Amino acid sequence: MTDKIAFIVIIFFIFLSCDAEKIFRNAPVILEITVDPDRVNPFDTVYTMVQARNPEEGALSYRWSVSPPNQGVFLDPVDGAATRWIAPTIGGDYTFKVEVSNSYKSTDRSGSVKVIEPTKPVVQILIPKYGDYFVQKNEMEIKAEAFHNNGINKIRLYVNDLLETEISGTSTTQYTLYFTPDSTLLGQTEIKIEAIANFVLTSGIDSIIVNIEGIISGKP
Amino acid sequence: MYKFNYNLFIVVLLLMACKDIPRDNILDPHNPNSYQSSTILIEAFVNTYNPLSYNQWALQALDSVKEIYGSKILIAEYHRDTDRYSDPYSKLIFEPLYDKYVENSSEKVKGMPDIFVNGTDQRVQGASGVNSVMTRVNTILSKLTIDNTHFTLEPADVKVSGTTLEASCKIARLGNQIANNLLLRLILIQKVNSQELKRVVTDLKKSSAILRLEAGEITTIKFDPIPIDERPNQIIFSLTSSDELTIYQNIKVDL
Repeated sequence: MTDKIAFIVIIFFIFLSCDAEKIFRNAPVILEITVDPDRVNPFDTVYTMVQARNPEEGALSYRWSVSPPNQGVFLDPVDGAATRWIAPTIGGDYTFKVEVSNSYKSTDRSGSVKVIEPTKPVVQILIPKYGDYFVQKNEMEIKAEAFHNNGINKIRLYVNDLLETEISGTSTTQYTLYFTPDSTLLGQTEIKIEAIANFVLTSGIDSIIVNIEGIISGKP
Repeated sequence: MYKFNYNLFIVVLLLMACKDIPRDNILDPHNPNSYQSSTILIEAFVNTYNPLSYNQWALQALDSVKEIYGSKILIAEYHRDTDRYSDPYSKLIFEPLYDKYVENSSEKVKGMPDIFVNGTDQRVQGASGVNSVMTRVNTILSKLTIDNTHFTLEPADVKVSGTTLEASCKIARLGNQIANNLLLRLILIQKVNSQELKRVVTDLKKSSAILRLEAGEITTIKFDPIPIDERPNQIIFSLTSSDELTIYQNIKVDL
């Protein structure tokens, strides 16, 4: 019995410490957020707009922000229902967040835009090294690093300008490809890796020269 | 009258002098700091009876490195058959050694030319020209030939009597460490011609295991008499680990 009374007293004091009026008020209702277009090039203008309804009396206030922060430039004040944003040179996915408030509460919603960076992916063959020796019929391991702010779509391996294999891009920057040289590739051979970024037509390329050595197959 | 004993005096002087002789000869097995420079064994597995030139390129490259390194290296060429090309100098007794070398290499593909330097320490497989093989082998040898070893080999008794070869070799353990699980190999080499078949292996014998060799200990290994069809031009004694994968020291005898 004593415990119940103590519990009620605690709840009562908590209630008193809050702004009692706020508890029974409603937050603004965001009907729609528009980000247009949703895919842009650097320096393109992105139009953002939010439609919201206020269940309480009074005006709504707005606050726009973008993430990652400090990228691109808002052309208009960020405290209106609509704003414009100039896309940055760094590609990637950007998220707009708008916080809508009335006199009592606030609510938020997000929308995103993809900025397409037109630069070539950065690609570097890590192994093998220039001038390394490989033996015909022995599988070669080729490790490369490739990066683009919009992500890598495909990695292609060319041997003496002939496409040998292709793998899809992943979220990592390290890629491993395998290739088994045959007797047509004796001597100096060019190993070329082409990295193709998402949404970009240009590709990054790195190449090295290795030596392929021939063998006569022995008995198994 | 006292007669001075000159003989006794000299012996005493010698004994006193001997007592102070330091054992600082680096080749003296009783010197705990003794060592000897390594002689490297290059074993080339080849097939020279096929229409491609890979194996000839490899052997020519070995000729070139022999000119550079001289007595620091010894070369033995084991001939092998392929599925398509028989080599008249191939012998089945070489197969277990090649299998063992390949199994203990990082790459498992069998194919010739396949050159092993001091067992499985280093491997150079394939050829795309004389220069490519020479470059690869030379890169390895430039490091290995400055290595030292803690074994000395000394041929003890090598003689050819008619159709029999008798051979024995002394092994001395240098340094201050015990050595375990050794094996002495005897490789018979024939010079078939002066162009490309200069170091053809005709036979390969192994001693029984040498289980233990104390620091400073010297032992003699005698091989059973070996029947030969033709007098070999050279024999190589090769001291290896008992699994033959590591080679410690080599010495040749020209016959």
